[in-house]
Amino acid sequence: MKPNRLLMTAAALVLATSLAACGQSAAPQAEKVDSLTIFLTPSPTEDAIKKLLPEYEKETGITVTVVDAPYDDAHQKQLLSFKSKQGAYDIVQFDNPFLATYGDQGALVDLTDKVKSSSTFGYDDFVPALQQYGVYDGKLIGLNLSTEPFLLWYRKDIYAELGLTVPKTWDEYYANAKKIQDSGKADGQVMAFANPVNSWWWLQFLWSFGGDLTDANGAPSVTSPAAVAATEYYKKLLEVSPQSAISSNGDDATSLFITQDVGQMITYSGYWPTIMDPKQSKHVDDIGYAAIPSGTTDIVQLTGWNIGIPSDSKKQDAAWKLLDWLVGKQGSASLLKAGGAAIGRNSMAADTALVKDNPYLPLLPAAATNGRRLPALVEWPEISNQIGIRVADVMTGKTDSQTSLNELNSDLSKILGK
Amino acid sequence: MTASLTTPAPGRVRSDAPRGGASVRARRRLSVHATYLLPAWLLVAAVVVVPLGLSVWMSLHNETMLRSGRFIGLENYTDVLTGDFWPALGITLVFSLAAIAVQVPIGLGLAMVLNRELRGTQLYRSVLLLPMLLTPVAVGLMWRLMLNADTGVINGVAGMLHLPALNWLGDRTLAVVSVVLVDAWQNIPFVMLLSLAGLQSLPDAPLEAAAVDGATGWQSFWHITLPMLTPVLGVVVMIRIIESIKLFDIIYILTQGGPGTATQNLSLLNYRVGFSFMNTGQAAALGIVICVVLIPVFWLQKKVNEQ
Repeated sequence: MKPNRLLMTAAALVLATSLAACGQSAAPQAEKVDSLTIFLTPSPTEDAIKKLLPEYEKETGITVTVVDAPYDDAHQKQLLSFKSKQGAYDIVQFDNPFLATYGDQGALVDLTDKVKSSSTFGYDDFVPALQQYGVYDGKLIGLNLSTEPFLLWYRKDIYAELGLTVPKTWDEYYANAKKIQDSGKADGQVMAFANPVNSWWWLQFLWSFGGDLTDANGAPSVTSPAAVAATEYYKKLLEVSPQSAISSNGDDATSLFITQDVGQMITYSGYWPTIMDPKQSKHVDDIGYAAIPSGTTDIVQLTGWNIGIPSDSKKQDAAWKLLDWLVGKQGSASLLKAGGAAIGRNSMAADTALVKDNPYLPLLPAAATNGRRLPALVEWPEISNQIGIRVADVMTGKTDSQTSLNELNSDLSKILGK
Repeated sequence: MTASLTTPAPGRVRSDAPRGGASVRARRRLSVHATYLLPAWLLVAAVVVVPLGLSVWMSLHNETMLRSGRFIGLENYTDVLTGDFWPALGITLVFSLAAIAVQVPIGLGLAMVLNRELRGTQLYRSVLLLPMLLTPVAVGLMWRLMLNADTGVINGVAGMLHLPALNWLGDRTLAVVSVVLVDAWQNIPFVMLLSLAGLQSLPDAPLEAAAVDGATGWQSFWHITLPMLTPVLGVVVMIRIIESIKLFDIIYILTQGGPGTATQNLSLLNYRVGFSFMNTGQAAALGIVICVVLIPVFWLQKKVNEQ
């Protein structure tokens, strides 16, 4: 009898566990939601969202819990959460280069119908490039949480003293940098040169000089004359940069620009709050900004955060309502006023009051019109790393441009051929 | 009685021995021992054997952080061994050898000085131990600022002394030197502490006898202190080799493995493959290759422990 009783107990336990599991996976959407969990990355935007959330909680009675992780860990945590399918997060902030990885796995909900049918979101408020910014394989899986094209930042006082004008071409940009460097008043320019982020700046030059990572057939094409010219130009800029630029990422480069004497810089518009913060920047009153110079093309690299709803969230309707409130037409303006990064909406660029405090707003839709985001490839993290290494080899004099790009070409063939 | 006093032939001891009592007791003892050990073995299996088995399984599949992959045989191993593995192994060895070459002599030298019980020894000892108490991430961030070629205090001081400003983190060779120095700065106190403990446990008699025989300080050190201290130093060297192979935090903060791959060791490479590229299958293969490469180190550690 004993074994029978044991068997029956085990069967009852299995049945109870299965029923509990079924009940969990079939949680009804219409069920009243009293809490949401949102995954953010530490940034001025996260601080701004935290400032705004109490208002939403008061309006709806929904408690919103914010969890965060630094950039380096954020996407790993999100990926592991998606894999476990437990619905740990209802909303996630992610960087655009991860769009392909998330999209390829169906990890995020397609929001196309929701944004188009919403009367408050304002989908038409974006230029086409920004409407497509969070689209992967025809599905809108990431809404725009920030719009951060490359901008030219320059020191108006140094420009005035040396009689320089805002450069329209990369040749003029280098000529300005050389004049500033030779004057002994400041370093000519600064940008990130440290790998792996150097791949982002190098890619801008590759596009500007008419090159691309792959050709029309999808085969790597970084041995082209345009790629060699872009690499040579990038290296030439190192000669008119501060000594530490070679080991600088975007934050380090910006720090040099706002604390030292450096004539000009190419970096993302998202650095605006830092560059214009009198507590951090020594030159707030002397800083000017403009669209980046052109090469043989007008392409501007477009980056920025996305925000979306994981497919495993059990509260997708409530999550969408929060997103509509947070990054819809009204929410985007509130977010900016609360200290968050700007979202490139046409309405915001035309809002005189907003532009008064954020004069660079009109540049965002304009830059985005020529904007090109980083390649939406699942392999992008590995490609970016490999570009960074090969470009650094040139920057540090280990190899010449052509040799390094030949090696990069075979690296890319191998990565893309997997 | 007679039979009990007769020494039985070896083969008969087992065959004639009372089977019941002894063997039952032995089995019972064994089962009691096994019962007590079972939780520990289960724990070991759960935290070591199962993950190791899973790693081997993953290394044979094209597994990513999001996707369970298909079986691909040894392809991950081929990719690992034809990629950045060898340069990273080279850098790992450089860091390990440098850790021993720099940290052990300096740590031992400081321990010798502190062992003399000079005035202020207690204070110096406390101050010298401070770097060991800091977290590697904080150490990395602090030195990253100090070694900045434009704004760092190191080049600032060099400028005041009319020395050239060096690009500590931007030059391929100097970046390696920087990592070695920062690692040494943090870990010399550890070497010093263990060496000091070893020195203080040595008997005075051989040194006093050597002094009476007219041995110089150097002769006493070389022929008496050092040989007696060898077991302690052996342990110190082993610990430092293992720690330097695992070195990650300082490199990650200080150079991110750059410029290029100049400071990318095996730990950093494994992190990149697994977490940046999300290629967990290949990262598992790399982890297993690293374990195989480290077998001589484990063997060396065993030998040191035996001594």
